[in-house]
Amino acid sequence: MKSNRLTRNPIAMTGLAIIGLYLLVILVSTFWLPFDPVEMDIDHLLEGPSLATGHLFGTDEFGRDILSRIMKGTSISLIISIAATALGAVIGTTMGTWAGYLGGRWDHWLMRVADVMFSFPSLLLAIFVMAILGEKTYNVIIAIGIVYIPQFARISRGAILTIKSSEFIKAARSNGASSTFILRKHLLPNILVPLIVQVSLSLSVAILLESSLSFLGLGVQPPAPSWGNMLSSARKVMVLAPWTAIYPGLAIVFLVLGFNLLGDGLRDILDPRLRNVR
Amino acid sequence: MSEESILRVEGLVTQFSTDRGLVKAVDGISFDLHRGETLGIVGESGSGKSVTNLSILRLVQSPPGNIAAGKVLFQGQDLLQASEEEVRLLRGKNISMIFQDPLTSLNPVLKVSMQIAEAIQLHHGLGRKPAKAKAVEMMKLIGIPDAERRADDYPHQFSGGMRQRIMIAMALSCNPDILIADEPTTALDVTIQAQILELIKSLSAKDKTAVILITHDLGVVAGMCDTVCVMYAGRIVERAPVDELFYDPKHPYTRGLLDSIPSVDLSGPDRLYSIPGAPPNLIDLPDACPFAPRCSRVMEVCTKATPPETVLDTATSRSVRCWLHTKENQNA
Amino acid sequence: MPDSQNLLDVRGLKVHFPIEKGIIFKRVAGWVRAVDGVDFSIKKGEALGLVGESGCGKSTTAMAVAQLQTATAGQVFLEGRDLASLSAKDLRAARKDFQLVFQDPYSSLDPRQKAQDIIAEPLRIFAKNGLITMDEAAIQRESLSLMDRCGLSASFATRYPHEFSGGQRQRIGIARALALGPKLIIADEPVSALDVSIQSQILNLLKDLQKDFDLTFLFIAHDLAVIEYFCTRIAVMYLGRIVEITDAATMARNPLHPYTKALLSAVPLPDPRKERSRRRIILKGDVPSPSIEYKGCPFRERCPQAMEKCALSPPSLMQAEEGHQVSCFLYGGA
Repeated sequence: MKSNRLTRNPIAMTGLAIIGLYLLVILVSTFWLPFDPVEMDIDHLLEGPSLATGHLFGTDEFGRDILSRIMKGTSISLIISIAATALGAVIGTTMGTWAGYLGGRWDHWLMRVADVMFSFPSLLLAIFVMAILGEKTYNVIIAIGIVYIPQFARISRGAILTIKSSEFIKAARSNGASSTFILRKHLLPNILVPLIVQVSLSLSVAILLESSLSFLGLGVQPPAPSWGNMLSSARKVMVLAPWTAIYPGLAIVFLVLGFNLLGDGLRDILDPRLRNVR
Repeated sequence: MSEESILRVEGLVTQFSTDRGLVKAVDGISFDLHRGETLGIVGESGSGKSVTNLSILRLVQSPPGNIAAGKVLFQGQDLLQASEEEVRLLRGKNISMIFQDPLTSLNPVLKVSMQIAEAIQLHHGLGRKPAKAKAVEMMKLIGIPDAERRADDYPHQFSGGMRQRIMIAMALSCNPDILIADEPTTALDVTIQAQILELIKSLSAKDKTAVILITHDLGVVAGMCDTVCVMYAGRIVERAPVDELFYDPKHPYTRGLLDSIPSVDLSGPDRLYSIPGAPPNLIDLPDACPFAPRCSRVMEVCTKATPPETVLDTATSRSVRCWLHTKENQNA
Repeated sequence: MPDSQNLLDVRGLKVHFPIEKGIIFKRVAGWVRAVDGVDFSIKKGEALGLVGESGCGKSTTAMAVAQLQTATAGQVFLEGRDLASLSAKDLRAARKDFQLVFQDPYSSLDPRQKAQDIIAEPLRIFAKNGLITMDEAAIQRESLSLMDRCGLSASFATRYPHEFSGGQRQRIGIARALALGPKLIIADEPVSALDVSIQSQILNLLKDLQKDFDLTFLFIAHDLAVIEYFCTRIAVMYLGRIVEITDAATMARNPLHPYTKALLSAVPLPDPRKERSRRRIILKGDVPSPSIEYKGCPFRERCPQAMEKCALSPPSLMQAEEGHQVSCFLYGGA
């Protein structure tokens, strides 16, 4: 039934297709790449896209094949985005859910901490964390994850607060249900919709954050390719060789679009109140 | 009724287009309202009683709503054909409304005297000062203690009952010809309800204001109204003077409703009657009596055709929409 | 103290809520005395109605009786056992005997659970906690038979709450309350959100179930007519206290407390002739805030019969006649 509803939703399917395409690229890139993504080639510096040379997306200022670098960068960008979102979602939701459910002092202090973190712009906070942790790829995950914690905490707490006062929660309590039972059976399923929407949004923002960090030289370190540091290095030669910026940029735009479409579609599918409405 | 009719609604149809189809919230209703009369419109949720009154003042949100047919004649002028500007000038001045929830109907960031004065300024062309003086006077009239001081308070500083009084003050500040009260006491406690109903009654009697009272509470109807229209599935199924409706209901729905309400003086039966089932979905209603599936006296014809409106008494314009009471069946 | 005939005894029940001030460091600025010393008992098979206007503390009383709200003071005895003194484990087991029916047929059901799962949940929780032995097949059978008993077709079992009408949803809520075979049903405004024609369906269903399952009711409502119809005894609450308690017929014909009189006279009667001839007692003003502490009778300021001594000390609930208690100086007391 569930898969049926998914396949009948064109928005979610488009999103899924785009994400699937990127996953396919990752799969292919683990076995085969057109060129070595880090090998320099001084004979072919800043060459435009051409079938003849085999550089379909052209080369960069070191003569490296842009298509290969984008393909290699896909797995790096996706892994960072998924891992960071997972980190932020798990910690943030746990925090927010318990704070919302328990209320009182716990809620008060946990949310004040979240407020403080929230008061920094996300990129600034990520830069700050990177500066402390050092410029390592896995630190990018932690930095973006930390940015996400207060966001997930807020959303899950808000959702919990509106559901907590429902009479069906009282009904479960009146039967002696434990807090974990109520959380698992009644609260979590009911906050799933806003959470899933937030996850899909966060996945796309993580791609952008990772790119921004790498663009600033704080994220994935060269020569390892990431879409962000590709854009960063393209900045100097963009006017001369626009393909160096356009293709990594498009890679980012389409993946972000894919996640957003999926999130939009899932929201419609997962809400039972919207079911049977055509 | 010897008094002239000041509002006549004829064949009003209001529809809402939804994802699932066209909802006929109001499906061809007609009634007359006379000067000084209190007309009750009773019905359950979804019967179309509120939409009827929003349609009169053209306040139905469009889209999705749309007044598809009918006439609303106020002093001979069809409001449905009038310009937006003409209707706007009528609202508040000639026809005022009060709603169920006084908190959401008042602007939370404006002092209450300002809100009452606003209407007075708009329709009477009074200046700020005299308008505010009139507002305070209205607040005294509706029984707000310490009106001069409280005039500068904000809505949240008043209790629910007091807020409803303020709404009434706003509605009556321009001496309207018609007051439309949409469930004015549903959100209030009974002792406060009694205060508010008493207030509406005495103020309307004083100025001979005609009142349309929309409610689901038959007790309120019994105490307030001269004439009652019972609505079901967007239609008026029975219209009668209040005593006739309560002591000699003709439509099986009216009878069922009356038998299913408990009475506080224990005059009711030991076991309440209950109408089986639930009101119909208003999308694509078949050409049949909408009450037929729940009716205890259903006949074959009821499921085949919509019953016409049968006038039982032209003097009181008592009528019923039921196959049991059509001319052919009466003679048989 | 508790009488063996009584299923439920409530003694000196108080529930006070703190009013907190401050954003970062909270401090208690005052107390809302939602329930301020309530005593009543319910005999087996009886239906006691608790009636009053919003903010009078009737729902808080219900939640405290159901052990969902911690009482500030007082005891709740169910068959002579003080529920607050039970261990967490014993209380969990005791919950089988008292179940709730809620007001709002929308928020009382989890929108993500199917009808049958909602009704089966109490059984599943109890089975999981090892308090009853029932396998999944038996739970399924039982929940289907409960649906049938509450007038819901078995074909509705897999539907979600939003697919039901208000009346049907309330039936689901009632079936859930019956699942564990309770002795006491605490019904908090069970029909006030329903339309007139649906309201009588539900009231009749509850009456039938009361007979068939030998149920005792604590029935909370603001509508006196509903209470008069359903209950055998009625307690009227005002500002966290019971002002009058007696059987339904006496309450309707011979109310004693000035507040009860005003309340009864304010309820509109569905009878135009009676409405025209009756004299209504219109109370002045609004219900005062429960956060103020009263030295005298809390009803004093609105009371048409207030005397000098009403301002001095609060009256207590006293026997005015056989089976009729009232808390008013007009009927004796210091």
